[in-house]
Amino acid sequence: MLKKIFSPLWKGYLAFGHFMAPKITFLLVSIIYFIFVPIFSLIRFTDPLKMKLQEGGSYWLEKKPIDTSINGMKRLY
Amino acid sequence: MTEYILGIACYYHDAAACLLKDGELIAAAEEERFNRKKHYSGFPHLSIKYCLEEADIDIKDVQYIVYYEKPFIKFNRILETSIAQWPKSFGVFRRAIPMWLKGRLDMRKHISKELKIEPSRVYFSEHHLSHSASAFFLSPFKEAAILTEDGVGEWATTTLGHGKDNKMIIDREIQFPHSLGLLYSALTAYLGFRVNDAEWKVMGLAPYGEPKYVDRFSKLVDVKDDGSFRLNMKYFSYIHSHKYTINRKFGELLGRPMRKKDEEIDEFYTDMASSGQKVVEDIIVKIADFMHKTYKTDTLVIAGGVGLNSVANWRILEKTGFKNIFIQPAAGDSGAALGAAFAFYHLALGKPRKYEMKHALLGPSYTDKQIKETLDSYDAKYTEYKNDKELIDATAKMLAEDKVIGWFQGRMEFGPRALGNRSILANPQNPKMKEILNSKVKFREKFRPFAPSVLKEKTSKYFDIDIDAPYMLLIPQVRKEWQKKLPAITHVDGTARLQTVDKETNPKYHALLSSFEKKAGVPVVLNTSFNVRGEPIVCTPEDAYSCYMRTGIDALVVGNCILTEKNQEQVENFKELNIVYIKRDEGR
Repeated sequence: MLKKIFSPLWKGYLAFGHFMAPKITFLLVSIIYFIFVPIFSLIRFTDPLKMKLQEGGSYWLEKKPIDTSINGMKRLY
Repeated sequence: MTEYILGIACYYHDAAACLLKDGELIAAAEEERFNRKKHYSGFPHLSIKYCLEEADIDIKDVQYIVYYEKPFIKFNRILETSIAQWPKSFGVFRRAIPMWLKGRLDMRKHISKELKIEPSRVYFSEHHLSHSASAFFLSPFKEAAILTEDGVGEWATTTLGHGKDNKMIIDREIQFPHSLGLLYSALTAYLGFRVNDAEWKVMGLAPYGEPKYVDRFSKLVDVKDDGSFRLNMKYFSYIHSHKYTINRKFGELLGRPMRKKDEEIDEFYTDMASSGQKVVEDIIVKIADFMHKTYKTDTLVIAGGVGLNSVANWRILEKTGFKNIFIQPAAGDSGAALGAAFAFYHLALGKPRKYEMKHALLGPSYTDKQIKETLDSYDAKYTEYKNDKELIDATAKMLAEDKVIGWFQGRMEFGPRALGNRSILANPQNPKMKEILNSKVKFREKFRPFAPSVLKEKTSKYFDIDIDAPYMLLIPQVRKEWQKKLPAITHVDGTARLQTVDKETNPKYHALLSSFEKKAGVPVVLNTSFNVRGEPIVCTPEDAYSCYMRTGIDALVVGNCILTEKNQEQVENFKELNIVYIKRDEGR
């Protein structure tokens, strides 16, 4: 009896959740992007993406040695 | 105890898997071949299943699973780029962040869940380390300079390094957003072609034009004498857009807006293809020159998607001091699965080298019984041959009679090229063969060239090359006296994207070329991939039969059977294939 009542309610709740999830995600991501990201964006005065072109010299960057030990390759970074 | 390592590449484009058994590469395949979705980027379940079946093992028997990238570093790049490009990067940010937080970031958990294994067996290799390892450890060389050039991995887009025995170092890099791969993609987009799919077309179009606009195109990129470069980012959009590679200024600089998809490719765009190709080639040659001086070796190995630019590869051989070159045939992201596995085997486990990639025939094969069962299930009419010689002679005879042949034999190739096991073959001496193939089978743009396969031992008689080119990644000149005699494979500039065929690695295909030589006078056939435009290369006998029925292929040679008659009622039933293009992963 209870199952009969709650089953459609539960299904409805799930459908509502699926419908709302992308909207809530969009809202949260938008809040993060427009409130928190600019703080980091503004306090950085460097050229993190090295966009500026330079006269002479070389654009090669020295590559730090990659840790290829088993433990190194275990890491996600 | 036998040691198995599974290499995986996925979630950008061309997902793939490979399997190493005690340091020997025993299987590798791209997922698109199994699920028939071109450039599929999702998890390569079917490729993994195939690899395990090939070794007759279960996933439980695999000790190490190595993913081809470091997810945290890539996520860091996406975040940093979003921050630096605020507020233009909102589109990328809102798509990428939920995707990454939902599971992509904890790739260990994600992979272990997909494969139903313990997370402790999952390892990670940097993207360019994977590419570099795929080039060096699979090459025949004990020592070499290593060049990796692609769109982007984590941060690196171009890396230089050096390998010796089972050791390798990468010591220089160019980082995102400055990328040769993305510069070439920008040119591809500008010319109205699909990015990450139609870069071949630009390469094929370039020889029809003149490099008149090198000066304009050069303003897109600042190149130093040592080949290092930075792109002038004011012309590019990919840094903050998931949809657009270039912006309006790009067209303004080059003199005309981006070509629309169905717009005619006129002289201007053809000359621009030529100019862009030249600029990219010049950069690559400068880099190679710098490497030759720095690493003091005559041997170079190359991987990364830009390594598929066979014209640039040939220029390296022509213009720099490198005398030996190895380009890993699956140089794009699918091949990074190989590198991830080999990097782990040699660098993490410290095992010595024993494997050399002599061919790319690493995919599934089908027995004569399986092939016959497939054909019988369609009530197909075929002739079964009891020995290879008769089958080969009959095929060579048809080729000499200008028939277009679907050739399906042995193990499927790994990488973007059909190398004589899943190929459409034709007579290169027929001046109309390009048009015939395009109208009956391939439906490609007229400007795209077709490639030749030639007997390895007779290569230098027909082509101006004295080294092996087994993977169609070098473009020498067809010798002057043969250019008019081999019109279907000679490109407008007199070159050909050559495959040399070795008796040791593909005896059946070698025998076919030998038989064709006896009948037609040349040991050269036109070899193009067994598919129609926009479709992955065929994998199974069923795929081959379907392609044969839907196109104007005259005969299908599948295993030891030859089909020459099509049941017309059945032809109607083979509906137009639903071509599925997979979008570039937006989480990139």
